[in-house]
Amino acid sequence: MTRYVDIRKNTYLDSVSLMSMSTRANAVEGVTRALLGMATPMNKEVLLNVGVRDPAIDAARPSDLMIVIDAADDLVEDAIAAVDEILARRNGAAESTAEIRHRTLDGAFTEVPDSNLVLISVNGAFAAREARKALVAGKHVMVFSDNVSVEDEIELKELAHDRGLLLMGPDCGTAIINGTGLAFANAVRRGSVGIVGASGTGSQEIAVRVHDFGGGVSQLIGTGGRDLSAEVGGLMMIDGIEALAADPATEVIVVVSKPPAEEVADKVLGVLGGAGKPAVVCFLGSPRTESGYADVQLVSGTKPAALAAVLATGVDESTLDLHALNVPLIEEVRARLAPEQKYVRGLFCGGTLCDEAMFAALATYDDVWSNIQRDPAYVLGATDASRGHTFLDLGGDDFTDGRPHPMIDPSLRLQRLVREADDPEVGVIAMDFVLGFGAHEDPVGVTIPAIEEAKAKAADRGQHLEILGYVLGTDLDTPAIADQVAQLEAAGVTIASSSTNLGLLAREFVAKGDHR
Amino acid sequence: MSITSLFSTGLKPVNLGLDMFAEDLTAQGVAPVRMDWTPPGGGDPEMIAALGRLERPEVAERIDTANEEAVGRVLAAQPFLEGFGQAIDTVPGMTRTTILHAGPPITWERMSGPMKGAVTGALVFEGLAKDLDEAAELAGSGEIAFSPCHEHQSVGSMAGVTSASMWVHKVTNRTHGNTAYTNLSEQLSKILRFGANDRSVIDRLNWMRDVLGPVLAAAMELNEAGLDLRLLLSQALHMGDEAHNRNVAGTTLLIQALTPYIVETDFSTQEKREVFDFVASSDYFSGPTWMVTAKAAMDAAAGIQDSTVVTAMCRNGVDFGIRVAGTGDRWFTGPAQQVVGPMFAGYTPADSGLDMGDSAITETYGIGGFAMAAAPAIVALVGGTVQEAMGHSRTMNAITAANNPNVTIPALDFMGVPTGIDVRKVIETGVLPLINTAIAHKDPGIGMIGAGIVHPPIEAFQQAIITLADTVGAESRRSAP
Amino acid sequence: MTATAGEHAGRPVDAVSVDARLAAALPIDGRTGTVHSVHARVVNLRTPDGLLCCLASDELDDAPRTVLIAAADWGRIGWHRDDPVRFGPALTHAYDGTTVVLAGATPWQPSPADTSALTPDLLRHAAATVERHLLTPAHRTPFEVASADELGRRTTALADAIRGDAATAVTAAAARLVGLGAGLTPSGDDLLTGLAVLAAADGMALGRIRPALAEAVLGHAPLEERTTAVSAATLTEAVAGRARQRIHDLVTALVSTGEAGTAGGVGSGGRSSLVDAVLRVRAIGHTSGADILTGLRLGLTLEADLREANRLAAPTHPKENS
Repeated sequence: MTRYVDIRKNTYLDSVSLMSMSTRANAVEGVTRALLGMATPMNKEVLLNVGVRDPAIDAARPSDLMIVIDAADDLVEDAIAAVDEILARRNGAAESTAEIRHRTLDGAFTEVPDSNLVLISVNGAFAAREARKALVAGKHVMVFSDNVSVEDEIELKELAHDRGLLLMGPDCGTAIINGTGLAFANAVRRGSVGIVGASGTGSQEIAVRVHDFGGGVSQLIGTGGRDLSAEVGGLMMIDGIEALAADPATEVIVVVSKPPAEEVADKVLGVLGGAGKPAVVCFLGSPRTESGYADVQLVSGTKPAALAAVLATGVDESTLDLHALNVPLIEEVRARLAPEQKYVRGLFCGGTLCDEAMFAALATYDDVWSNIQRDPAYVLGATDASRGHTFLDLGGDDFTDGRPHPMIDPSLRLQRLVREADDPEVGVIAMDFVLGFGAHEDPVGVTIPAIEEAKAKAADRGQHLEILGYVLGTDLDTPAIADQVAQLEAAGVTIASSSTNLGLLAREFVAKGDHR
Repeated sequence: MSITSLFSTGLKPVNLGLDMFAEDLTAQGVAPVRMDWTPPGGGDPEMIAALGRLERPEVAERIDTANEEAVGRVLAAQPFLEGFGQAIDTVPGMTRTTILHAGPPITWERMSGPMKGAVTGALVFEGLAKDLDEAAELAGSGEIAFSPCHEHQSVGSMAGVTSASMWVHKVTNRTHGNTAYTNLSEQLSKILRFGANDRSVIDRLNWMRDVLGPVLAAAMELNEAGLDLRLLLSQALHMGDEAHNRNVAGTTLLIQALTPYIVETDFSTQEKREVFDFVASSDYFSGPTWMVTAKAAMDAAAGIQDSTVVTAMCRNGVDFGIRVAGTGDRWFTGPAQQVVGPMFAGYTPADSGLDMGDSAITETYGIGGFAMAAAPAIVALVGGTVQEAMGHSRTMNAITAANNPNVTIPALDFMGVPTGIDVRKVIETGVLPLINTAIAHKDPGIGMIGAGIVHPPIEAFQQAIITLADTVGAESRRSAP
Repeated sequence: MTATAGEHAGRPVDAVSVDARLAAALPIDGRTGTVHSVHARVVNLRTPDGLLCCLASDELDDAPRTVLIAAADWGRIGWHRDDPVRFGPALTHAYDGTTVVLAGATPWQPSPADTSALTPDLLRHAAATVERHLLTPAHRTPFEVASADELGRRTTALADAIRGDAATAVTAAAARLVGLGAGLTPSGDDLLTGLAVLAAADGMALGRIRPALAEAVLGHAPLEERTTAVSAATLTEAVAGRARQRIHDLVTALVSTGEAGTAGGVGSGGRSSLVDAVLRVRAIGHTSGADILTGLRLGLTLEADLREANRLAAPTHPKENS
């Protein structure tokens, strides 16, 4: 082992350069340790503490850069040469990487070889091609873009599987990898609950509820909405579950999806059953109640899913605020609604939130209409007027055609909100407000005028119109949930504490006679 | 990297698409690599389909191997100046009634004004017509064979008009044994290659035939070792040339290398003095030399099966043509473009002819516009800033297959010039090669009126990619051994 | 070409804003200083009087001793280390003639903030918010690993000294942090910056440690013997309560959580701007932001302890409707 000590006079390195040079210097063949730092007295002490003692260091001044390289005897010269080369190059390299935008993925990968995940949100017609390139280059991929063919999806997912890579999507809106939210995501604590979701807002909701119950998320893997179809066969879901099973930071696995194809559901449950970790499954709207595996719990909604997950990490239930349904509140609202106000109108940005509210209503009522109804007899199109209990997923393809998602552009929902208030049979309008990365910067603020207008219309004909809101977000989001809730409360909106409660409250508010 | 190992590594994302996602990532302390992405092929489904066929792994692998071979040959090529000779004696296929011209094939009727001016001037110079009117008649009579320089192992700057008795460089690529030719610089702006053809032009051509050519030829006969042009070129770039629009250093180096031999020849001091004065009259003297250097190197890659590397870019003032290694002698063309740049006093863009000349062989090889960063002194001449010049050279990396380690740019940390334009990358990125060039007046007889920057028409590359997809990417080739 | 370069240089660069105190301190008699160091968006200058100050692109924020120049003009500051610069009515590069005119620049002063309304709970809450956004670095250099232990130990020692309320102990402990850490602004300095700026806000009980911190920074051996020149300048300003605007913004955001807290429940209104401000501070440099936040968090926790005695009534909690 040979120690090489060098002092570069008046060499000013910012810590970014220092970091990248140190990383590369330590990667040089033959180097066991390379220490680089400015020669302040305190830093000299640090070196002394790790056994580096040298007269050159004693003589160095704070404006000098200290370089200490420990390397194998026969390799020290090569190592020094390599470090010198890195030092000589730093200027051009450090500045150019900051400025350059790359034209092609191949170019980006060549310039930044340690990039490891590509987030693709270009037009769907081009997304598959770029995703394929990224996979071939060994990068994980999240495809936010929709309008990718199912054939491409299968090919990409098989390619990803063969290479041990993530292929989240297409049409994957949400992921949290290593604590970093990708596309639409909320700022949540890191923790031990791993989530694999085929539905974006469902995953967001569970992550937020886990955070709210004091838990945290290890990873949130999105699969795209088609993953659990018979054609795709849950390729990403299964790889995702296996990755979480192997991840030491994940203690419990949560799966959320619309009801999968039967054979796919069996397969997914089988993989979970063999994962060796407790698992919670929320197939929203599925009639299944038993998973068939001791460690795999089937739950009916997003909030029960989050609760079960947090409890499975060992949290004591008695310490949690479960936000049980507020029965006096239900009675109070019922009393304010006129007898003819018997319907709920739900206007949603989040598909899963819409789904969950619709299923809550379906458990009690028959005339439940939606653009995402499973029963074709009750399907409403984007241009159809609402009827009976209506739940609209305004992020559905029929509504978004050619316009941004309602999480970003709320204009369509604002018009619809005012229009629903014209119907004297409407008692409750339920709405979600999604916060977080990717979402509108103030979803509540832009909706307040329409809420006031809707309420005023009802008041003009002597009715109370109940507006029920749910804000999907956390105290760490920007804007924070408390800010959005306060705005809604000031506008007379009743706040639900979760997606699950939103559906239940809406249903109960309009329940009359038999349904009570 | 497996999924599990991703979980234990720092996330280093690339954001391809919506900028707001990149901003969110940055706000979370994970600044992504950002892209300046445009849909491949400009979003044209036909282009995307063609690219797709060439991107199938087995096809792509075959192309990559072929391109490596093609570019490898270009980089390995060592063009040496072996001597000078008259076209009739040296250029393959040359006859007394042949006129070579720049660019892809073109008939007399379709030729641009400057090229017609050059052709008629050359016919008078050769004694085939007594005046320009008669020359024009002769040109249209069918008795004159018009042919692209490129189809005769040659290149010609601007109009590229080369006739039987003109003297040409003989440059041999000693690595692969192929030879290339180009005529001599006429120096001043009112010259045949820009379409000028009055008496002064013909007189100069006569002097070049009778004195300049013979002196240079005799000098090179004394130099048995030949001149390593790649070495001179590389030095010229280090001295601030990009070897298309700036040739100050290259001309100095070239004449410095020739001088001892010129001095040794039997010509009179008066004649030698005329030669030196002529060389000193314009920095452009070595311009054709670097063109033929590039041609000798690029020809080494011609005909490499399956390769998508461009081996020639040239224009005849009407059409812009390219050739691709994997499609051999075939031309892919599109309309020649207007050159954008500063004009000499008194001229406006309305006076300028369309892009013309074989000089884009320099960009094909990686110098000229591709090496703009080497020549900050002329950024104003082509209407840009030093910063843009640096950017141009870096940008060309996006469409090339390699960097030439033998010809480097000091200011870019000795980055090798971007070499080997890949048709696939041009179509995918929409980045077109950048060409530095001169502007000729649109009418015959006037000459150079400015200089600037021009790009090839995308159509030429579109035709090429479709042909490549139909041949290299054909389904039937899948099972080929 | 030279004519073109001359014309180019002839057009002066108008500064966008300038630290008001710096503007008053810069020499205007035409003596020559030098370019001290050059970074991507910052050029540090040494005045003939030895003061270190800088020109920066206005992509960065206002800061002590800083002259901001529009990003569009930044490309024209092609200055190199050790180049001479004349400090006259304007700053003029002696070689290429580039001139930076300060006359029309907006004077900058850090915004004052009154923290007296903050309850211990709010302070602890804010400390927690800062804590949540202190990412564990994905990767640390061997030097950082070696210095991190020292940093932790010495920070704890400083906290103990402050709680113990002995000025000499505070000075000694703080001095042990100066210049500790690898980069251009060592971590220990960044931490002290965060702490000192917070302590300097109006209404802070921590204000009483300011003389001890100043003594630690200014009173020992010359500061430029103990840390890098850039860090010495930053730290000198920090003990005077002056730092990059975004650090002051964070203190302002902190105060607004308090205002919102008394008006309408915990965190409504101000919280999001606090998170925003924290993230913006975190974005400073590579590790500097996190180190500054560490100092701020330490200050917030200590302040909460110090205010405990005068604890205000806890704020009300928002109504849970369901």
